[in-house]
Formats: sequence, structure tokens, C-alpha cells
Amino acid sequence: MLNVWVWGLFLPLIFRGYNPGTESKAPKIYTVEIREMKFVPAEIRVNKGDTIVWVNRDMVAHNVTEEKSKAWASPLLPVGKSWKMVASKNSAYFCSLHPVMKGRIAVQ
Amino acid sequence: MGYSIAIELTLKEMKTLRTLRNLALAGGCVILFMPATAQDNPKLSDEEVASVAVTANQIDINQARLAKERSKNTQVLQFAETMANDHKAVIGQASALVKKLGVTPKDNAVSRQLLADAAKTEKVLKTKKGKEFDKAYIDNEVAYHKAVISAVKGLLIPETENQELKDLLQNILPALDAHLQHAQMLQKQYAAK
Ligand SMILES: [Cu+2]
Repeated sequence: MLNVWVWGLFLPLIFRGYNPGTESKAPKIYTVEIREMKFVPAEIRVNKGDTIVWVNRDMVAHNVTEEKSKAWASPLLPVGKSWKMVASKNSAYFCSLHPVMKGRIAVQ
Repeated sequence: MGYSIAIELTLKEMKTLRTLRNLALAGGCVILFMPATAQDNPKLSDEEVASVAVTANQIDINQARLAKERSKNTQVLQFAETMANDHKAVIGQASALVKKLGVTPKDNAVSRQLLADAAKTEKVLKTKKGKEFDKAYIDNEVAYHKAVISAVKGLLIPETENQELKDLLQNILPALDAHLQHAQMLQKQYAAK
């Protein structure tokens, strides 16, 4: 009797763990902070469809620009402003105002 | 003629760099090798530190303005635009802080020396145009940012009493460092051509 109880409680939990369908479908939101002339974290791993928000917590204005061909870019982000994008593919990006600031998006 | 100007600029850059480095390092063994003006570790009040900080930023804004007038290179123009905007932002924050603290920037030997050196550099830059200007401007930006970084670390931060002013100076360093790396990146592109 107790066995049934225990299994009844734990089986759904165990199967949930094995079921990638339901949980990972909900898109997530990730934040990249811009501070001290860096993207933090510099590399972010997300699933396709997740949203990435960049927040400028630095002393000066920045932007977020796809590095290879400028395929996408944020507008100018003054101090305190943020910008978001839905991740669709792997990208290397930088701040075109300060080209030494670099970041990377890895889409799983 | 081109050579003599180039050499003159290099000497002046070295002089600016040396002046700032002396100021930053004074107190150590370097004193032995320095001319009379740099022998004393300048004692700066917070009012004087604030003036040096604002002056150092204003000089870079002025030189960016010169670049906008004289350069035709997209990358140099964009660099100059970034310098103008970033250093304006720093001055804005420094001004807001000193106002809040009730500190009135006071000019002093260090800020006057910075202005005198900058006037000489600007005079030389004004004799140049096109690629020759670009190279001289970027070379000077590399030297200037190195000098300012060492002065902020070695002179301004240690001389500052107020913690908020100290923190502000500390927070400026990453931007100065990114500017230096950006200028060095452009410098390398010239060397490669
Ligand atoms: Cu930036």
C-alpha cells in the first residue's frame, strides 16, 4: 500500500525529468548586463526562441551589433536603457562604438 | 619637412607622457631622473583632482573635434565620435558628483600642465591632414590614454579623499582602457598597410 503511494508521488516527477517536450518549450528570458565596458556574461547559451535582454549599466552609451555582417543591431543604448532580441542562431556580436567589447550567443 | 613635424610630435607626445608619468610616479625612485618641475609629488585637494579629471576629459573632446574637422577616414571619425561622447558622459557624471558634494573644481599645476601640453599637440595636429593627420591623431590618442590611465591610477585616485570621487575615478578606468585598446587596434591597421 505504501509502495503505491510512494510510486504515485515519484513517478510523475521522474517522468517529467525524462520528458524534454513540455518543459523546454516555454521560451526563457536571459539578461546580459553591459558594465565596465564588457558584456556580462560574454557568452550566453540559449535555446532557439529564447529572448535575450541587454541592459546598459555602464557609464557610457553602447550598442549590440552582429559582428560578421551587421546582420542585426540594437539602436544606441544610452545609460540605463535596454534592448531585447529573440535568439535564432549562433552569433558573434560586438559594440560598434567600442569594437574591443565582444560577446557571443550559442543557440542550442 | 614631414619628418621634422613627425619627430616634433613624437617628442611632444613623449613629453606629455613623461609629464603625466612623472606626476603619477613621483615619490618613487624616478625622482632622481626628473627635471625640477616634476620633483615634488603634487599634493592635490579633491577640488584640484576634480579639475584635473575634467580637464583631461575636455582635452580629448577637443582633439576629437579636430579629428572631425581634418580626417576623412570612417574608422577614425567613428573613433573620434566615441571619444567625444564618452568623455562628455564622464564629465557629466563628474560634474553631477562634485555639485552634489559641494566641491568646486580648482585649477592647479597639473591641470595647467595638461592644457599646455595639449595646446602644443593641437598645434602640431593642425599642420596635418588626411592620412598623415590620422596617424598622428591615433598615435597621440594611444600615448594620451596611456598617460591618463597611469595618472588616474598613480596620482588622482591616491590623492582623493572623498570615497565617492575615488569610486568615480575608479569607474572611469575600464572606459579609458577600452579607448586605449581601440586606438591601438587602429594603430595596428596603419602599421599593416
Ligand atoms: Cu560600447
